Amino acid sequence: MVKRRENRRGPSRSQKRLFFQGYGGDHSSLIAAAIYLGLLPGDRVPSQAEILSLRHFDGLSNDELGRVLFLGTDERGIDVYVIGSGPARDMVPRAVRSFLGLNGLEPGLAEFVDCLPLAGLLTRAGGFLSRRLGLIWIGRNLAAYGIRRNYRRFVGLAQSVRDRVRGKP
Amino acid sequence: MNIVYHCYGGAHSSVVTACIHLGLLPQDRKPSAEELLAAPLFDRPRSEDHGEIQLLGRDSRGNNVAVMGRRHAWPILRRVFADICRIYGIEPGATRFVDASGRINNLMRVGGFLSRTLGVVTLGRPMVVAGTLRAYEGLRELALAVKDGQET
Repeated sequence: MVKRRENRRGPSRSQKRLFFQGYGGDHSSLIAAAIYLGLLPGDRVPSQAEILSLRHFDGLSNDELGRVLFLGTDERGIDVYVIGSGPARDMVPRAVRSFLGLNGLEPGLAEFVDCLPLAGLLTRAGGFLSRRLGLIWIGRNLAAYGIRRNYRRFVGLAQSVRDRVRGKP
Repeated sequence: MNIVYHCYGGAHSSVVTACIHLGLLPQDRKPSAEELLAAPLFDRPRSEDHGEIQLLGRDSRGNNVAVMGRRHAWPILRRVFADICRIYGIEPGATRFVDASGRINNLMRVGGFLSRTLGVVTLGRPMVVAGTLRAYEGLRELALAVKDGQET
């Protein structure tokens, strides 16, 4: 069961956090993080309805790029977030780590997972139709369909993150 | 306190303003082209450095002075930093971000693009030096205002 409360003992300056990064923060990064946390199945492809009913799915606007959303806490107590970095995808990890260092925190406390390569053409087109053009029904369903077609790769990414996190506590 | 000067590439206006702030470039006159080229980081960072907050030194009041390139993504990075402060329990007021790109000219833009983005240093660097000298007074005013703790 995924815990839903962020920073349960108050914000910690010494605890690691995991950030799943995508373009908008509400498609590829959200799906990968949801699988990682067990909010979506890892052993089968979910239905269209399961994806569409996921909280925040296709639910962020362009002026919310850069917002860091809390999604849950994993079984090791690590808080998991999603970020839509937009065109700043390569800059955000550097910016966050150097900002932590500037403030006297360990830069390695922020671990990033790049999810954009998993967003296929259908997901990108769907996200564009829904978020940019406002064609919500068709765009949302197209994005969800694209994710389901590619679902195994999302499960593989979530699994590799799990291995990585287990490898270095 | 941390003072982070930022501009498009983190290589010209932010670097020069931070260097004036720290006294690494003159605070009372225009520098020579040689002085400008000898300033740390001047016309050095490239796109793979964008986003990185690079510490240049500590001023007379004990503030950390740093620079950052952020392309056109400042609205995005500003939200990221605000949320990161909340998540890690960092005092947001401990860092002041200052946009140093408001007083630049087209010579700096074109020269900087040639030198940093395209890598045509022989052509771009003299242009960006000439442009920076032309913009120096504005950058100097900004640096001294920030150094004295004024709102900008």
